[in-house]
Amino acid sequence: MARIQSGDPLIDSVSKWVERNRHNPNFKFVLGNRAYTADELLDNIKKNTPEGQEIRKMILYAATDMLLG
Amino acid sequence: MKALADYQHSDLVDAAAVRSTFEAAVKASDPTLLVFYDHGSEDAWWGSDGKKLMDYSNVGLVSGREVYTMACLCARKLGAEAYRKGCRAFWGYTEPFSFTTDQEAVFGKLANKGLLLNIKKGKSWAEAVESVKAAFTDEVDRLQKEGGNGWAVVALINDRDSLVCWTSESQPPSDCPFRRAGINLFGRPGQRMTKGSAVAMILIFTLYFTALYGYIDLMYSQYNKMVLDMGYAAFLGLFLAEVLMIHEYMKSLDRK
Repeated sequence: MARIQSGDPLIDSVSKWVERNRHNPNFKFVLGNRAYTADELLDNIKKNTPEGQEIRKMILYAATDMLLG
Repeated sequence: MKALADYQHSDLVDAAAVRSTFEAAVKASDPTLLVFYDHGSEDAWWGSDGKKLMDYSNVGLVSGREVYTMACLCARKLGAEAYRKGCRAFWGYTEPFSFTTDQEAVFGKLANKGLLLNIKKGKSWAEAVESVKAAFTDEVDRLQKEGGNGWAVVALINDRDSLVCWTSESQPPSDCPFRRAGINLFGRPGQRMTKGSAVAMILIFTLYFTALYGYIDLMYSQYNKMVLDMGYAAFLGLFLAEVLMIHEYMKSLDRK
């Protein structure tokens, strides 16, 4: 099992994903009227901004749907 | 097959996509369907000038028409209000619309699919919603099998589940207890009852039964037994008239 570094498994998973996908600078996640790079996604989640909270909610919703839906 | 461009239509783009031009165009061309591709919020569509293009104060413009939009969030409140004002179908999203740039073509196809199914294939809005949601799920399955981008999967699932089309078969929910009671009692027309009319109905029946109770009490104390009197016939007539009035009012709301 992967070692949890931040105490927040979601942040750790997103951090790993960002590291793995740095080679794809064209990637952006568009939410409403804003586009986020991979680093901005991680930053917003880490800082728990309103946008980060919304993104976290979306990830958890999708994960729950995939596991239990 | 008829191309979309062959349908009679008016386009409002860039500087023309503002409130005054929009209102004038709807009144002039009297469209059956409005399609909006720009930013939205819970209670408004936003124009290219950064101001509200449609909100509660001019949402009556879509009465008797159908609406198709991918604007974020607007189905939640603006769409619900549009339906209550007589919009025949409001297609939209109750959450922010999201996508990833590496799968932009897929999201674009899904965002337009419902419109094409309705216009070109003749599917009802309810059938189109079902088909589009199934298409979202197919893309989720495809990406998972291919080990594709997880962010695209997150966006697909959230978009799929926030997609709604408010019609008489799928009506918007309401937070208002009076409106909920109205919907339970009268169905679709209950969505369109105003607060004033709901309060008036409650008052009419409360006062009616208070007056009836007072009258029965008076008659009983006077004769020490129940006697038939013209007053009872008047109360019965009044009750039937009130029920008929409410029935006609609800029918008029349903026709809007």
